[in-house]
Amino acid sequence: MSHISLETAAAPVSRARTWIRGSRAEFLLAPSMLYYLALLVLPSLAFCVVSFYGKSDTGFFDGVFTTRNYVRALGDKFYLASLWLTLRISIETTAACLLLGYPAAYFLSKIGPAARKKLIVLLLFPLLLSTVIRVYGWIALLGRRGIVNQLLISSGATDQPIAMLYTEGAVLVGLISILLPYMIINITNTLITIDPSLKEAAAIHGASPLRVFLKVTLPLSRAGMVSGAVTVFTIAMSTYIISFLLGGPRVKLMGNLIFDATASFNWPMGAALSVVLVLSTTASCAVLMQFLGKNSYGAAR
Amino acid sequence: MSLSDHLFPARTGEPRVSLQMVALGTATVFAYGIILLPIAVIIICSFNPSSALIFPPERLSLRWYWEFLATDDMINGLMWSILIAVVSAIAAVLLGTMAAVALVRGRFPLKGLINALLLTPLIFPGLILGVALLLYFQMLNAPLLARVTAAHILLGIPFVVRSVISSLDLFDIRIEEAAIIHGASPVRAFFKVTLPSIQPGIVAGAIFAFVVSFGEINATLFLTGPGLSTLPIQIYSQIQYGSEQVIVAAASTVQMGLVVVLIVVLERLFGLSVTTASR
Repeated sequence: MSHISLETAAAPVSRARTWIRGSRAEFLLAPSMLYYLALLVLPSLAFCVVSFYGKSDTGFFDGVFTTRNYVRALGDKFYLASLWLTLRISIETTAACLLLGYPAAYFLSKIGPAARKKLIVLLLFPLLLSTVIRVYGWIALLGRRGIVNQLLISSGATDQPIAMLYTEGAVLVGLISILLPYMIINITNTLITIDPSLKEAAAIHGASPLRVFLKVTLPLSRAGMVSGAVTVFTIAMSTYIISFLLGGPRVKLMGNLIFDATASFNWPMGAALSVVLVLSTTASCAVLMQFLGKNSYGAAR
Repeated sequence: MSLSDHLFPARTGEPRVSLQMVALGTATVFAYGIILLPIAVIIICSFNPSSALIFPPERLSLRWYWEFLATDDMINGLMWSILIAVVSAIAAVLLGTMAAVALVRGRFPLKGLINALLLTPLIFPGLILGVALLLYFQMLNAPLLARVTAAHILLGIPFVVRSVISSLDLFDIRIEEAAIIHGASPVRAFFKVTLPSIQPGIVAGAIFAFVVSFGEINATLFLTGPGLSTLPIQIYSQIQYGSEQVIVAAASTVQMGLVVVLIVVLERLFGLSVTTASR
């Protein structure tokens, strides 16, 4: 092949490369970036700004800068009690999901890939349904004339219906039921990536199955536990529909107070509570990562 | 205990180890029960002939499905839900696909950060998004339909970005180059060669965006209002104020049915891997 024909053959290739690799593909980002700016960044900024103003009866907020909303959100017993309740319920939910989810994930990691895929789809399906549907299932089960009470009365275990709905316990059960799939999926995805030769090596060196689990499997599945826990905890912290429908007016989580503030047009207070909620969620997640991390290092030592 | 018993505990049938699998299996059944029991209960109760939630139903009836079809609020909710889900899925596909192409092909700084920003709606609490958007839209005095659709587009984009990026990563760019070398204009090469190849990612993203919009309630509850509410909002208000509780079970089962159909379509078209990979 002559020198000239090589060059003519190479020219269109390099032209194609120039187009694809050197093209201004980054301009395709503009529409989505503008969209995010207009519908995520600006609304969030406006919301934060409003939290530093006072309530107004005529407009959205008065024009006087104040930190009063934050002083109330972090000083008032009513708001602090709600923040504590929200944290406690979210921690309980996360712990319960870890305890219930880990054995299930471990089981899923031990069965064949075809069966595992089917069982994972069974976990994904509920995540695609509206939260309100899954909550309604628990109302039908736990209500005064609900299915559990029907079964208890007809079996003679009790003659009076037991009050289960509109309790903190009902909120906890609902949250666990709705968030557990995230935990199982996250842990399973990590467990199946663990190289089996690591476990073999530990076994060859005389470790018992329990020891192999505690010293090899558990520490190596830490990433899945952390991402599962962070997902579950974050969603639990900002719940308001689940707590409203299953907890009734007595279980007031931060999300419910934000809803109430907005419903009474106290935008600044609702905004301040939202900022407090987001910041405390982020801070708790940092602590959670630290805690789960240390815990499994402890097991590995 | 031999070494192989340590290594392959499930397959040896040695009593102590298979006991472990039995224990794990029981724990798994329990976990799945907590997740799936409320869903199963709704489906069964929706075929109840009476107006009380009697379990198990004495006989099966479609009464509440007919009631559902005869209730204007429910049908309107379903129609709004479908309309909003279709429009927001299309918009999310357009914006998300462009963003994904830019992220894979473009050369610019802070790529990781922009990728993370595009995925923020996945972790942004729906409650906070709803309240912040409500205040913003109130200030702008935006119409209700625009409020809900705009929020749902935002929630759908991350799913499209994620699934299109994974399709583009699998696509061999030399095929597009070959088309250009053979005389196709770059735009034509993209639309005739690349786009059909990444179609599974786009369709999967579109279906997820539709499903997310169809079931969303945390942000939507703040953005709907008189004259416009989606099916989940109708179910929510029926639970709260309604006396006919069984119709909620029927409405919920209708919603589930639509989601099942879409997932089956997705699986038949592209196989299970797409369904599981894009979550």
